[in-house]
Amino acid sequence: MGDSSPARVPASEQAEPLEPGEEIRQDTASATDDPTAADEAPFEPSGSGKLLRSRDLLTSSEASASLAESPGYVVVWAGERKSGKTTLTAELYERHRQGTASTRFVGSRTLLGLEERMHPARSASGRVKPHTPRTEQDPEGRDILHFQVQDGEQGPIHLLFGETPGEVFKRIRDADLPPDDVPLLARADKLAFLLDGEGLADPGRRSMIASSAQLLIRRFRDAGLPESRCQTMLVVTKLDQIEAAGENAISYLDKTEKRILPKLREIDSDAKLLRTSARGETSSERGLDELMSWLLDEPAIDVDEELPELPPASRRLQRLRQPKGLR
Amino acid sequence: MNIVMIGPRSAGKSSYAVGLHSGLVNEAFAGMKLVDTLDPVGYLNAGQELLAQCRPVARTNVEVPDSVALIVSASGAEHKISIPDRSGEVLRFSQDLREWDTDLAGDLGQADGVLIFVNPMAENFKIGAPVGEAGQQLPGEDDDEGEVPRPWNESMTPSDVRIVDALQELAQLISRAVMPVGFIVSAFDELLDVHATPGGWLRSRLPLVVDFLETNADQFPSACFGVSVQGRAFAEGVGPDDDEPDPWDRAWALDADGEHVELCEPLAWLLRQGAEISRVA
Amino acid sequence: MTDPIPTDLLDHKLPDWYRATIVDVDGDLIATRKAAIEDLANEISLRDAPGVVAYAHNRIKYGKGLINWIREAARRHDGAFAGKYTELEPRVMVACAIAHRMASKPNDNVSIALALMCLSASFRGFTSAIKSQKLSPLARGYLLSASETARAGYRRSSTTALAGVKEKASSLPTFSEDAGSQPSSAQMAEWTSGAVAVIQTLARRIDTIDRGIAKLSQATAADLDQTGWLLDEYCEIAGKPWAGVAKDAAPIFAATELAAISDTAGLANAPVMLKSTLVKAGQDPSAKGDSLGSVTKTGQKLDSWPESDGHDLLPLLAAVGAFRELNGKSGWRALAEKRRGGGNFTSVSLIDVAEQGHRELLVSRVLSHG
Repeated sequence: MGDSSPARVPASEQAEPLEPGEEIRQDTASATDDPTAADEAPFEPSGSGKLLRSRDLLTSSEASASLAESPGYVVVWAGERKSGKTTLTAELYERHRQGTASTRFVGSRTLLGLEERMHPARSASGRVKPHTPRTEQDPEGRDILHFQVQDGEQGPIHLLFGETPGEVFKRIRDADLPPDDVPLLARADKLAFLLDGEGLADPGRRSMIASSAQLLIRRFRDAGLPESRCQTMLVVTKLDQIEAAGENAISYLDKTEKRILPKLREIDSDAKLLRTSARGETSSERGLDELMSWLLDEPAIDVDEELPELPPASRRLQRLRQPKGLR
Repeated sequence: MNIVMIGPRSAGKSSYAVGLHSGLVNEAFAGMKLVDTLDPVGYLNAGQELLAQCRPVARTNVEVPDSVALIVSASGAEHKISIPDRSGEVLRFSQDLREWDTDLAGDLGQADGVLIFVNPMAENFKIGAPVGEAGQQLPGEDDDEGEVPRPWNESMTPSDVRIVDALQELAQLISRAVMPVGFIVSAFDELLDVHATPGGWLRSRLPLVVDFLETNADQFPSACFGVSVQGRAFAEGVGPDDDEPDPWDRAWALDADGEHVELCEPLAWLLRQGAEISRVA
Repeated sequence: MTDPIPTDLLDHKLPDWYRATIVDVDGDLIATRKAAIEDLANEISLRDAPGVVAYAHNRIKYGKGLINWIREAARRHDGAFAGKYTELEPRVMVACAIAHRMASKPNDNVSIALALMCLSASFRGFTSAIKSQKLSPLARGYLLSASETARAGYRRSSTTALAGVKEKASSLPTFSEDAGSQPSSAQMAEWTSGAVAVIQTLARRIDTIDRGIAKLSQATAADLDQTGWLLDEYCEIAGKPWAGVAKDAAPIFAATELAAISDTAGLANAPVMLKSTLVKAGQDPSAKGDSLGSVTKTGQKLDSWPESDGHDLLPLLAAVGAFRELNGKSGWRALAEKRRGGGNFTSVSLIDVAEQGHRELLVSRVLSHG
């Protein structure tokens, strides 16, 4: 889907001179979509003090307001820098703008935050290749992106995506930071360990990518994370780059998955595997429908214990009223 | 009933106000009659004059917003309709600066219904194409280090996101539980070659908006219309033909399914919604 | 003995129960919510108990009448609380409050009403707003424990009355035996006060015995009534032997008769007694039951059932009320369904219908004390 063609500028866009006696006021600004155009009429809005939501991400407390309203899940992509964490979130959102999502968009409390993160992947950014900005630690603890979706007839679900910088996962991998010191990791309802496809496609980097993922999973396991009701998945990102690198890369991926998935299944026996491609040379994406399905899948929850048994009758009179066959 | 028309500059708000007024004055609508006009309507009459000469209606000047109050009869009842016609700049700057303009916030706070205008032919209609689409000539460096030649700011928000943002923020601003939204695609005569129906156009070009309106239908019941106040494209410098219809007969509107409706139908729909909301309440 | 619900249930379970509505489970927010939940638990009134339980089980319409109360409690600890009745969090708070009330006030009409209504919710197939919480096991456990406490009978004191009197008497002042000395007013006052304390000790012991005997007598009488009923082959309401009572009629007649002679002490045994009576009536208690079918068969003979406008958690009362109003004529079933908030019953057995009938009659009695 591209921008509308600017070939025909409607006549209404052209400024008209005033006829004598005409009461219509002339527009002095020219039609342009460049917001910094010098010939636009200067405008000073009379601010009411009532603010619209900014591009800021949400704090945990603000994100809780979404969950307080209706069901939702906290999603954590666990991976080092450039593994594709923010890209996954941004692309899951963007699909709704493109009309290719299997779910419907209900709203977002961080709409501009999502837009900011998608911007480098758009032509308006001036880039030739799509890119996602690096995530930095927010000093105010604003590290959650949000949007809400609806799948079929089910009720809408909030998705709260942790924007934890890759550096944090590197420190966890290096045993420099315990995972349970990062509150969002303990809280996650959906935890996906990312395997960077671009790295796996590079013979000089792939072994470190594989090794890092194993180490990260081990650190989580040793910290007793994730909680039992958290669903986990091993997600391969940038699959298109692996495929473009040839048979050896694909074979290495197969081997790596076979090695790592069992480790993940030691902490979650139902852990799944998914290969994804958010952006490719042909803009084709793969695996994102399945990924969204998994995000919306309701986890099995351990419910409280069953009905207590009736106590054994302690007196003859009571035993009479509790005939053996009916106890 | 207070109706607020919102949309960016050149979205067709003023044109629609002119077309609506001229149709009411000249009794062009079976479903709606003009009972009285409560505000000066000089600018609307001037707009009608332009349309009669096959010239487009010029944009509203940003510094002096107009408002029109009319009394109309429709669906067996009389309704007082107040329509502030604020410049598209007011909404755009509110969104870019992330602070509601006082007058616009006041209008929306009192509103019983909203008409959202979008003109796909306007230059400021942006979809936000992805990088690398075939046929695009793009400036900028191929920079793997992540340089972004044009860093993001709020003014770069695409049109569909602006609409959703406006509605989300409206929900925070108002105290009403339900706000009907009439969605008007202006200059629909320019789109008929490709899109037979306004609903089809909306679903194809603004799926995010469709999703938002459908999943929030409890709060924002909506209807979509395609409108052509001019009735056809005007050629520059070419005046009306001898058999040119009157502007109010030339203008037309389609409902979401492409069925012809009267130009006043978006307003009539809002009035019916308002009556239904009052009845339920 | 059934273990009572631990009083620190909320402390242990809150992080789990509240998890779905909060991101930071260890933060300040959950502490404020805990305080609010404790307030709510203390403030639940008998009159509001049915609505509170219904709301906790996602019957959202009941939240409209409760939300101001919930907000007030929450805002005492977090002025920014802005929950709406349609949202999830207020329902979660109320579900937590119900559990905490049963845990913290074990011998309390409100707790009994809450427990009975939770079991009604289970009969209707409703689930708690908290996915990992099932209130029905808590409720059943609570009622068992309450039943045993009520049945515990009179326990002898660990000390005798004589020992108590001797202890008090030992602190009475003594007077000099000198011929010429007279006790002063102050000395007399002290002695009198001590003597009164001795008498009060005796009086308290007598009152304790009195209460104990009354309780024992009541429990014994109830026991005998229920045992007699269990052994009786005749259904008073139907006017015929149980063996001759129609299949669909037996559950409601059994529930009605047992409820008339039930008290808190009898709650634990009710399921077994109802089962026994259904067997007496020649029915398999686990056979498929039909609530509205039961009302059709019995509606004309249920004068003892209280009037009811209907409630989502009192479906049989709603059905009986609708049957009476339309005299069993066409349309009463639709009215019954409307009054119980619509929706189909989950598949139930004869014993389920009997237990529900018994429960609704007991809860009506408890609520009428409010």
